[in-house]
Amino acid sequence: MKNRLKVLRAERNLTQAKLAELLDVSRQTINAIEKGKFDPSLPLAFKAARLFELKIEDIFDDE
Amino acid sequence: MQTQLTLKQRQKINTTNLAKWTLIWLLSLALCSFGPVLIWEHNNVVSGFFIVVNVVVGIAMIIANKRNLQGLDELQQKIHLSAMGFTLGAVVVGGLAYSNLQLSGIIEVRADIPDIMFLMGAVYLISTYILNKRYSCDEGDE
Repeated sequence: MKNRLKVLRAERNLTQAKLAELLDVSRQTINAIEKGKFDPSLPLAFKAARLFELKIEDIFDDE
Repeated sequence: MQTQLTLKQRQKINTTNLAKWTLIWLLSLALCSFGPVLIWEHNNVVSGFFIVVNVVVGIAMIIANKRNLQGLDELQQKIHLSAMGFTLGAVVVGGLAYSNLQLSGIIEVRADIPDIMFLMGAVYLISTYILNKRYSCDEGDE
């Protein structure tokens, strides 16, 4: 699944470690999601959407 | 209470708790194994008591392990679930293959529970190492 996490994070000057802290996951998880190696659960996707004040589909794309 | 803690704080508490119960369980197991010979001279009542203690401590260790896994984040849980799957598969396939080799007379060395425990530990460790490598952060990542 493609996503815009890296771009959104860069726009807000957040490091992977800081984003991981805000989403209560490990940095390893943020890195794996950004690289498309791991798809987050729905609760984590909602959490990210709330944090960036966007809709889930504005961050994650399943095509 | 744990929901207010950060992931690192939760993991530290859960890992310490698991290590504590594992150590107590190992000590109680050693007592059950060596106590009848070295301390209470094969008294069945004392042996039975310490075996019950060992099982009760073992249950506490299982609960601590469950809490430790639940305290991990979703990628780490996925890594451990996959490692457990590999371990279960390796023990079933490896154990039955070994049994067949023994039945057909190719191998004559009998495998006991400690051998299976060693296989499980080795497969679990190797699996978690490989899976962690697969999802690891590169040098250049922020």
